[in-house]
Amino acid sequence: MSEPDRTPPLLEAQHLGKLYRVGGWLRPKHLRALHDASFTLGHREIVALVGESGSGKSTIARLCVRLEAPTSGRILLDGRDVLREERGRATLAYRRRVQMIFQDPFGSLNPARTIGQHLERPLRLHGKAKTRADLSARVHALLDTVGLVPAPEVAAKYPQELSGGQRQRVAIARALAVEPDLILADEPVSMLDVSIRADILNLMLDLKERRGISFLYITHDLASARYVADRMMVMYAGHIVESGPSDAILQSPQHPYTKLLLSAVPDLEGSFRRELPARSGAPALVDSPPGCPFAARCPDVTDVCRRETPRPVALDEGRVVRCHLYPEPSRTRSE
Amino acid sequence: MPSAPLLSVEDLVVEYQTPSGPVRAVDAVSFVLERGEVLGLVGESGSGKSTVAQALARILGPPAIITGGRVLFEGNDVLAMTEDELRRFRWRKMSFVLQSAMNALSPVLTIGDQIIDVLVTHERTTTRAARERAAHLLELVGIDPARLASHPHELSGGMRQRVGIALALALDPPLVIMDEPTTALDVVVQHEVLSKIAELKEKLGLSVLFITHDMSIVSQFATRIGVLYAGRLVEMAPTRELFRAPRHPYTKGLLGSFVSIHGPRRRLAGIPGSPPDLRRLPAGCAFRARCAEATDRCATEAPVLRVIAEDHPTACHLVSP
Ligand SMILES: Nc1ncnc2c1ncn2[C@@H]1O[C@H](COP(=O)(O)OP(=O)(O)OP(=O)(O)O)[C@@H](O)[C@H]1O
Ligand SMILES: Nc1ncnc2c1ncn2[C@@H]1O[C@H](COP(=O)(O)OP(=O)(O)OP(=O)(O)O)[C@@H](O)[C@H]1O
Ligand code: SF4
Ligand code: SF4
Ligand SMILES: [Mg+2]
Ligand SMILES: [Mg+2]
Repeated sequence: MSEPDRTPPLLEAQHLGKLYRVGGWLRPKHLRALHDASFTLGHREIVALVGESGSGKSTIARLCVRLEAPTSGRILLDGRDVLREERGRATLAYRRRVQMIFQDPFGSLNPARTIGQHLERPLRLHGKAKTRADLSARVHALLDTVGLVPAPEVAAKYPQELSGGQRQRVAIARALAVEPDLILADEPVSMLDVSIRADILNLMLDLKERRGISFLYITHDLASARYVADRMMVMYAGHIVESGPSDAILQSPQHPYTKLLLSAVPDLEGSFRRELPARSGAPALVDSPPGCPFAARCPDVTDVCRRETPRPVALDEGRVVRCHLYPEPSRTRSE
Repeated sequence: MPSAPLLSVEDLVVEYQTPSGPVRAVDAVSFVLERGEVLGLVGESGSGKSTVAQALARILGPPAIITGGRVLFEGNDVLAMTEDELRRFRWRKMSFVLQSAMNALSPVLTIGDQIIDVLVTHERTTTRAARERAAHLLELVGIDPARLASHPHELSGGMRQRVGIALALALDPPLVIMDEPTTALDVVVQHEVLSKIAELKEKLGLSVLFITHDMSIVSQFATRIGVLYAGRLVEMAPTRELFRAPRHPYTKGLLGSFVSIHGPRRRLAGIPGSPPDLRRLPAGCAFRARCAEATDRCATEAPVLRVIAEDHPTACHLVSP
């Protein structure tokens, strides 16, 4: 790259960390939900975030949508430090640009409001519709987009009248309503069958291409991550352990956790009785021991892993990995 | 006396009463679940899977009404049980993991207290023994037992879902109904949790009704699979048989849309069209508008479930023994 690209990425996270206080006020402790997470989300880009349950994926989304403030680190939107410029919760202007689809479709819809009302609210709040007729036309178009038909009937329903997958689609429609630049989609299709899932994933690709919307796509479905996302980030115990082009990661995973993850992907023929190439066990996030968080389970563990937390190392093809198997080149030279 | 099957469902019909008329979400569904079996129930969003599950567990309230059929657990009529009988039946005989498990825990109690609550209410046990059992249950689902002291909002979505699984297994019931229990779990944790459940199945003869949209999971975990479409069972077969020789066009479509993480990228295409409006089901076969193989007969006559191979009933006019 001879000519550096001067437009900043849509969103950039620098060294984000999040500690939660747990254990009551008598003996307060800290749970490290996120450790030194740095990444960018480009314009017109879909990035997948995959990894262990409890590893900090939703935390990243909550920080980026500014529902919570990070304990450390910075968030830049179009190169501007948003946490320094406007303290506290996200402003209306920020929310117009960055929307979130929540992981739990049963907890994120209000049982006292109809589906139509759920969609009208953001439209009105952000001045997306002038007249009453305009409003309901927009609501119906949104429901159509996510395959909830016949739209006028669905709009009159309450959330408890919908199945799990139907609620998930309402949540997607709600995020689309304000036409944001970035959608942080936390497991948006986890309760959808392959058929509707395909429609939603194609919709994401379409929105990216035609309207330039970017997505952070949090999922456990690696096949769909590969399908929509050019880049992928893999998390374990609060660390982004590997990132890079989706195809490269799936074809030749480098980090031992990524290898474990890929070995566990079920297919239609495999047997469930096969052994996985790592011990099981949940990482301790409270009073966590020093070193690599995967050390207790890693088949490649060495002494240094238990002493030092590995730092991100750039490999070729835009891949980054956090593991002592990959030495830090600049550091070895300077030492 | 030949022992009755663990669970038998006969012509179950469930309707939701709505201002615009009744919605028949489950229509004449019948199946048998034997001891030590994992029966998978698949079908697209809105096909009635959760409604079946909730009807079996008797946790459906208005506006849902069970308008027909029988549910027998070890020969006893579940639909006829009084509230008192149900209290003794639920958790101990039949437990469930709700699709909304992530959102179903009490926000004010710690995880530990909620598990211990279930244990001491239903079993003669000391709080101390219950605490140990609770720790063991968390380990079973891959959560650090130190998290017993956490409140639900301090756990991730997948962790809350796993607490739901732990609760369902707390009293070692012979039958567990699991409605999409692993949607928030990564494949490693999913593998580990399902392996543990498979172990319990071997050791204790646990049976599971396993509802999912994930064909790869059900192919590995279930012994038999039922396919639901618009509230009706359209095909049912032992797992291997269903994957080797699916007969119903809808089942074929479901299996055909599976994507692997390897191989060439192809444009994802689901089954064209959308599910029918349950309020005005068309005459004939409910799948007709989306079926590439439909004939004239499909427009007028509804196919009935017929056994077309051993232990393999299918409801489609094109399929014959
Ligand atoms: N409010 C909170 N207080 C204390 N701990 C929290 C809080 N929110 C999250 N955590 C902890 O932070 C860690 C990361 O949680 P997060 O929800 O980000 O995980 P996740 O990667 O989204 O997992 P899943 O795939 O299961 O949804 C977990 O261990 C969780 O228990
Ligand atoms: N309270 C209600 N009133 C009216 N209709 C309802 C109600 N609850 C559910 N339904 C309808 O009944 C049908 C079956 O719903 P159910 O929740 O059983 O589907 P499901 O197969 O579990 O779907 P999913 O995979 O999306 O969870 C759906 O079309 C749904 O809209
Ligand atoms: S740093 Fe060490 S323990 Fe951690 S993943 Fe790499 S080899 Fe394994
Ligand atoms: S009965 Fe006819 S429309 Fe229905 S699935 Fe069979 S061929 Fe298709
Ligand atoms: Mg999450
Ligand atoms: Mg359901």
